[in-house]
Amino acid sequence: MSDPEPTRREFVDLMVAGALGMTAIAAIVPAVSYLVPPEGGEAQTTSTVLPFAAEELPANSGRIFKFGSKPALVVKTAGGEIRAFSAQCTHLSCIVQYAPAERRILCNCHSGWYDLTGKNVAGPPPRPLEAYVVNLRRRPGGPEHDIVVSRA
Amino acid sequence: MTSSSPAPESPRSPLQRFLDERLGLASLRALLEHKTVPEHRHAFWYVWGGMVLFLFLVQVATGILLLLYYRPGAGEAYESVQFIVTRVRWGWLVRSLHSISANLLMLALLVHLASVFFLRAYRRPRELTWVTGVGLFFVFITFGFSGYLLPWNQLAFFATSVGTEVPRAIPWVGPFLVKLIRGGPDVTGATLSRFYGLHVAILPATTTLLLGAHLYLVQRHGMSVPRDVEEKGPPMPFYPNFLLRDMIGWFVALGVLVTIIVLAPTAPMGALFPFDALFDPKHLLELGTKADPFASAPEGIKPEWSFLFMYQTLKLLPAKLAGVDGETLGVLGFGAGAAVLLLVPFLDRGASGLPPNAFSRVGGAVVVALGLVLAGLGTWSMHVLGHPLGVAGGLVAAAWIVVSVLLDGRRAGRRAGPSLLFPSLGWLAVAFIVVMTVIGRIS
Amino acid sequence: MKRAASWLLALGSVAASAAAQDAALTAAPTATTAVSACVACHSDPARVQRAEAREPVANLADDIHAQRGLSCHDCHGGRPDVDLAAPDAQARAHDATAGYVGRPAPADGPAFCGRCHSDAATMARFNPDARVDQETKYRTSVHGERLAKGDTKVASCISCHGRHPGGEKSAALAHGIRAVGDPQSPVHPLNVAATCGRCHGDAQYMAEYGIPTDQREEYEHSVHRAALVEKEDLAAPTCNDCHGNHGARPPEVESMAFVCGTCHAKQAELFRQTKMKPAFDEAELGECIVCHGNHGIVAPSDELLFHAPLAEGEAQTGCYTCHPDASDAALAISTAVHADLGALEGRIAEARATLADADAKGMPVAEAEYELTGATDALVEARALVHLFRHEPVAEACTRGTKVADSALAQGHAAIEAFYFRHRWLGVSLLGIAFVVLSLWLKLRQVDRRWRASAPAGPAAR
Repeated sequence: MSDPEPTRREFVDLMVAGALGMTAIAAIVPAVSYLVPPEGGEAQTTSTVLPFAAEELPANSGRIFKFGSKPALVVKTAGGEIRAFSAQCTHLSCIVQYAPAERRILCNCHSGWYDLTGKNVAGPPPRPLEAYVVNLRRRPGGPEHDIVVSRA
Repeated sequence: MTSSSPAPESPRSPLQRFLDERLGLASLRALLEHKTVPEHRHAFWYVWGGMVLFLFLVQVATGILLLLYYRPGAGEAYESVQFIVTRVRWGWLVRSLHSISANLLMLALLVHLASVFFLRAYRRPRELTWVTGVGLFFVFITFGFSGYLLPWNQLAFFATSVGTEVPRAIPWVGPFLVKLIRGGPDVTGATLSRFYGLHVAILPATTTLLLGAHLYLVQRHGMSVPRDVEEKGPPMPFYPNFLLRDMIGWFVALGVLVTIIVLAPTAPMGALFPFDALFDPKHLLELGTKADPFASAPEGIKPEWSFLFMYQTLKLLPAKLAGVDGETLGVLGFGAGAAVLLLVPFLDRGASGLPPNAFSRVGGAVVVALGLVLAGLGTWSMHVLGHPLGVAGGLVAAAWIVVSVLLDGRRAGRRAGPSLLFPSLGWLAVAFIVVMTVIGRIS
Repeated sequence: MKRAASWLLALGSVAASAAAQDAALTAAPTATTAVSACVACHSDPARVQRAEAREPVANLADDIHAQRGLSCHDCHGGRPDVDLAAPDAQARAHDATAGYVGRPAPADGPAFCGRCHSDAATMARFNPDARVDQETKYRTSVHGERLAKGDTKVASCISCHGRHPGGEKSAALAHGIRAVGDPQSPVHPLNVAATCGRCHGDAQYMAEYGIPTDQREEYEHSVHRAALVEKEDLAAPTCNDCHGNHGARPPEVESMAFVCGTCHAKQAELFRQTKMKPAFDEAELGECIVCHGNHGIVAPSDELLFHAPLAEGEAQTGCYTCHPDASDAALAISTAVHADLGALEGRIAEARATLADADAKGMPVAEAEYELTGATDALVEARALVHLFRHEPVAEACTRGTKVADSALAQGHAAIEAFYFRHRWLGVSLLGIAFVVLSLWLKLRQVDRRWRASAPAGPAAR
């Protein structure tokens, strides 16, 4: 029995080698690409550390921050207590703001007002703002505290 | 490539010699060169073990990659999976591969189990191969169940709540077991931690041991040839002949995998592929909404397809049967089934050509009794629930068991041959599981 | 005859018994559990044959006054403790010297109710927070002024607060008055329009007054009613929110923006800053209602703005009322604003549709959909800024919104592109896999052929 032509055998061997090599590359290249972290950092969670310290927020003021992919409002009351709420007005989803003169939260779109517990007290909003849980965490090596906001 | 017929050792490179001297690769090479696979009309089924191994390796590779971005913990799990699927390059592919391959793995596993069972490859001296194999089967079921919870979405959360409720029906230890599994009275973040630990540490370690033992035993004993089957010629060399067949199968499986992954999320999938009837790829891939323990359970919540037959059986059992809690009977029935599965080689001594011994007699009688009791209970519960078709099915099952036993009895008088009981029971079990799964799917 | 005489006597002693009345009222309220003679007699068909005289007692259970422990004599005077067996029981019970005032005349209704409801000390016993200015305000209202002039057709206390068991057109009954917050009360927010509409919607009844009677019908189609009834938002306005309840008057022309502005503060504030306000007031045009209507207010659309070119048959809108000249610079502003708003709305719709398409293809778009709401925010803001009647503020808000919408649209396109990429990837992968399988199969054939050629025949012993 004669061997098949050596050239044909070599060709098939080459095909197999090429095919398997291709497979290896098709597996390894995406895997390596996967390992490179994407831009925009880590997974969005339902717990956020605010980019400024608790002490940096003046009393009787508020600031908007990004919570997950939604806007949120952090307020430091005149008494120094820090509270956080969803900043989406329950009327037509405009972004609310803190009104220091009235010491309440105002939605500018149709003059909806919320008190500092998030409850809708005047104007068109039909429901209170969702309140978030605020925790203060001492920053390592310093007197300042991080504000950690998470869903209730 | 060199000729594969047994030949004097081929010239090796300095690297090969180096490794050989230190690692003793010579024995491995010898195994590879001498391992053969018999050729006969049932030889097709030999590929399925390798298929399971291949899909398992896919799971390991994709699982490790997922592990690098996944965050266990009720507050972060869902978002981390969302992150993988939307932001990480090729993340959608890695996650989809892991999810779909898990299901194909279960299918391949069932085919492998069934083919080994019906071809009676568990006969002496391969009893321990079978036992380790069944152990691996249970391990993979647990892999699937624990992994399902990890994305922490509504579907998984409630399916897990329903599924972990089942052991409660076990007498005495049931409630404790449920608490142990859940890490508390309800499914919470503690459950997630526990399942995560199971899925990435405990089960992989267990698999390493069991799989190592299983593969070693397979190599040691070689492929089993069913009795009374003619071999069509000399056995085929494993390398490269059978291995090439294996590899073709693996790449076909890969093709099926990637097709399902890309086409599943869109409607045509259901129309074209029967997979939709069995498991729902769209639901496997959709992340859905994050788990909310306080929201009401989604309508029609049920476990995924591999557990569906158990769930459906428990649903169909009446609340009380002959004074005993219906669910307890169901759970005990499954437990008994699992025990029988594990002990098959020791019960079916006839398959090994051995005369029955005390254990196999008692065990066999117990199995028959169990089978009859289960068939009877099933018939009775179908009668109570008013399903005439189910009643008929139960009666047929009971009759089939009795017939098998009688036929065995007649044959036993003539010679010790393989019993008919076990294949019969096997087919009954297969029919039962398929029917229950289909009912669970369509109801 | 005897009955008529006792009625006259009762009416005649109203003034004389006022002091006695007060004394009776400021005494501790009698418990209704001890059935007063009034109730015992007026619930007995043998003693009181007329059904309408028995009616008050039949409805005491629903009455807020009875629930607070007040009884007949607390309002009507007289003696609740007469012995019904006595022959002069009725005369003694209905004794004017004991403060009996009987049924007050329609014109005296407000004063009758006001005896308690205008007295802070009295009301404080039952509800410390109750208002006591209803009667005062009523007298400033159109109803009050007309009643004082002798017009008994107008509404007074029980017209609105009382019951109308005979249906909408029947006379009001004063017993069984429910609390304002009770959903069955005629003055519960959900029922106010129907209550006012009983008279104001009756063209025949209102014929002599020369005011429109289609307000209720118009209101039924309004967005305010829809909010009240369908969305169950009890803060939505009904008749009394704009007209006042006791001091009901139609608002003055120059007060219109303030009235609407109690809720729509932003738009009203913007309007007040413009030159339009003094122009409207001088022309005696009712500010907001010129463009938005008063009773049948529907959700405003961008079509309220004049925009050129008008489609065939399209009506010319509000701006045109005062700016009829097509070359008026004001109309150019309106047209530009209309165009900007339309463009932004279209962009948002396009982005939304693209994202929905991507979603249907199974691509994750939750974050982009969320970001798109920022564009809707900007659109809402831009529409409010219309009330400045200048183009620049609207243009600025629309520009902001368009940027967000564009970003969301881009994300949608990227998602769809990713979808097609995956399909192309599948195609390439399947080709690659086919190639691998083919080469493996060729090799297999080769290897098998060689093996079968060289292997010994016959099955191996196993």
